[in-house]
Amino acid sequence: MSMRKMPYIYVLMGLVLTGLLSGFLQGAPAVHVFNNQDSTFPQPANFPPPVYDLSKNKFNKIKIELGRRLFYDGTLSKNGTVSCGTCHIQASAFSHHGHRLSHGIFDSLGARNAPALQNLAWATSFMWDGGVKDLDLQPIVPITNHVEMGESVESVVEKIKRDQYYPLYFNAAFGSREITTARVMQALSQFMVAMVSANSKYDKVVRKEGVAFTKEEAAGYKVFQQKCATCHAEPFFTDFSFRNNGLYPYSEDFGRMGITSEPGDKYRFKVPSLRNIALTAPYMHDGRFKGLDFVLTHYAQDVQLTDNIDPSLVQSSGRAGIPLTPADKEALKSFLYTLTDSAFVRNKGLGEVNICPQCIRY
Amino acid sequence: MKSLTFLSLQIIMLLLYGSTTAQVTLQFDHRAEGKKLVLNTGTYKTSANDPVSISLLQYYISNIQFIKGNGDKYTVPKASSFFLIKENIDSSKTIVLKVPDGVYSAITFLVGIDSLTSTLGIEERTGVLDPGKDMAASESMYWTWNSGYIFFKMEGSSPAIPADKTGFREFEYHIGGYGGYNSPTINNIRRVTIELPAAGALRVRSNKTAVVHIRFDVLSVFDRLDLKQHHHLMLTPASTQIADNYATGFQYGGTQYQ
Ligand code: HEC
Ligand code: HEC
Repeated sequence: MSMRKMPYIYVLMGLVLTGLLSGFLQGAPAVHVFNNQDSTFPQPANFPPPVYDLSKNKFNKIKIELGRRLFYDGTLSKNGTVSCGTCHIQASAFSHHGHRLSHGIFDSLGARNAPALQNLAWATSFMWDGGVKDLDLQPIVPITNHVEMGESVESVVEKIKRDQYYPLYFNAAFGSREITTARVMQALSQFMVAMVSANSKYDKVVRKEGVAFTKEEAAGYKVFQQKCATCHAEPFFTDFSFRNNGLYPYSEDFGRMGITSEPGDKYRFKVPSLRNIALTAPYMHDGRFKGLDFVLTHYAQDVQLTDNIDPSLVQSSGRAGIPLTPADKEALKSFLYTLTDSAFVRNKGLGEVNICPQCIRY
Repeated sequence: MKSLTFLSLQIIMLLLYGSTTAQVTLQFDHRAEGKKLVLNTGTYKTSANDPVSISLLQYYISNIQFIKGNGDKYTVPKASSFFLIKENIDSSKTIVLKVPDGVYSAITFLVGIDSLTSTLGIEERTGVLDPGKDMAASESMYWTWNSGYIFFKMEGSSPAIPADKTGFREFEYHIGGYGGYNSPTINNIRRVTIELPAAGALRVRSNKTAVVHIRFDVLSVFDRLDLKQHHHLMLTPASTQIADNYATGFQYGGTQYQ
């Protein structure tokens, strides 16, 4: 008898706690109510199964809510003013729109451009140089980086333990009030794993959901498949490999070589996804290009034959770059705009929770 | 049937094993010029005759095995086989283990963390393996930007080192590298084997506690290094020289029975 009643009680408890997690108690309006039974990973039909091991960190809406709070909480930084959301802004697909290099704590500048955060459940490595191999280990990097959040993981865990509400949330998400490095990381990963972007016009066309490309977009798709897809492979618009796309080497940033110490990895950077590309300017690891026109000009006429240049960027004549006519460029841009997923950047479940009034917003 | 007999055999083995273990303590003694290392104030000469002083020394010891004369091995269970030795914390230099009775002629361990453990899921990284550990004190043994443990960390200063922009003449050796997740990188995992002298084999008996002293000659780290060049070493090819060096620095220092 009592055994059969249990699940009902848990659902009720879950609902109440999710209510709390949505900011209800602290006065923010509860934008939406999650139901903890609805914890299936949103697998898009045109994507392979995720790479992230969900068996070790079960997909769970309450955990995502907890991760969302942590993501938007300045407590994770030394002086309370910088949250993950400071540099990863939803409206620009969680990139740092308008910032060439990311500003962090005390307004210090980092050395690289903040990439969009999307479809991280399928990524095989993180950072421009792939130095982090496991999403669960990624958040330690910005938290402890002195130009980003300038904090130590230990004191983040301590601050969270002392918080009035967090122990309650951890209990709801993990089944006990215990707060550890692992749980903080897993909650953040859950939230980031939930950042699935698969509802762009392109996806709807590919999934044959009654949407079609315009003539211009279709022409652009053709050019893209011929000239860009070797590296920016569908459906993620990256093959997750490290390549040198011939950028002029302004700095001592050698990319992948910084991780492997292999001269053969000099100037190789992770091929970035082009999903939501219209929202994520500036472009490249150092944010050198303000717009897509600059990017296309680079590929067409500015590719440098530096060490380890990717062979696909060297034409049979020995000339560097990808030949693109003005018509090709216009068509390519039209196609790239179809990769914008407005449902993703407006998804309320991924949006900011207003718990950090003192946090810097750009 | 077969599996049942096997199972009961295992249980019997376990009981036998369990009932006849004794405490063995590995005591790590850090030494320089034949004396106990003194942090900060002690000044020592390297083999190249450069004066050095040391401000920080810490390293991981893991995957410990006790080896008998006939080659039989006792492997300390993996889950309880990771230790972080820190010069500034005396208790960390004492590793207490339960070892089955017997006579052992060698002890072997890794300086560092094996590659499998280096890629464990975050939920299994607890205790000394918690990547958030000791970050506040700047004594972290984890590289965030290139996910992996620092196996061995030694810092200090020497007048032989050219002054940096702020006038300091410091060295920082942060040695790690487990061979890479899926593309090969530097592998600085080193296995050290301490051969016990024939007359001084380790006799583990249930009524006695054995304390085995392992001496680490701190100055071994500097062998074949040019301090003028090699003062800041992390994950670069030159780091393997340091790993090779410290692997030779561990020596047997005698056993006491209590
Ligand atoms: C000061 C700005 C800043 C803050 C704050 C920040 N990040 Fe980032 N983030 C970056 C930059 C810059 C990069 C790229 C770094 C690199 O490749 O070297 C990055 C990269 C990432 C990546 C890798 C993405 C990929 O596809 O490779 C993830 C995941 C990530 N950040 C999550 C977080 C989380 C979680 C937090 C909060 C704990 C956070 N970030 C806080 C700037 C920031
Ligand atoms: C040889 C592989 C390769 C090919 C072919 C290639 N790219 Fe790239 N692309 C890269 C790499 C690598 C980067 C990141 C380089 C960096 O930042 O150092 C990149 C970056 C970009 C970016 C910036 C993305 C961001 O978020 O910053 C855009 C836009 C882009 N490529 C578009 C294209 C287009 C359009 C084509 C076809 C005309 C193309 N690429 C062909 C490898 C390639």
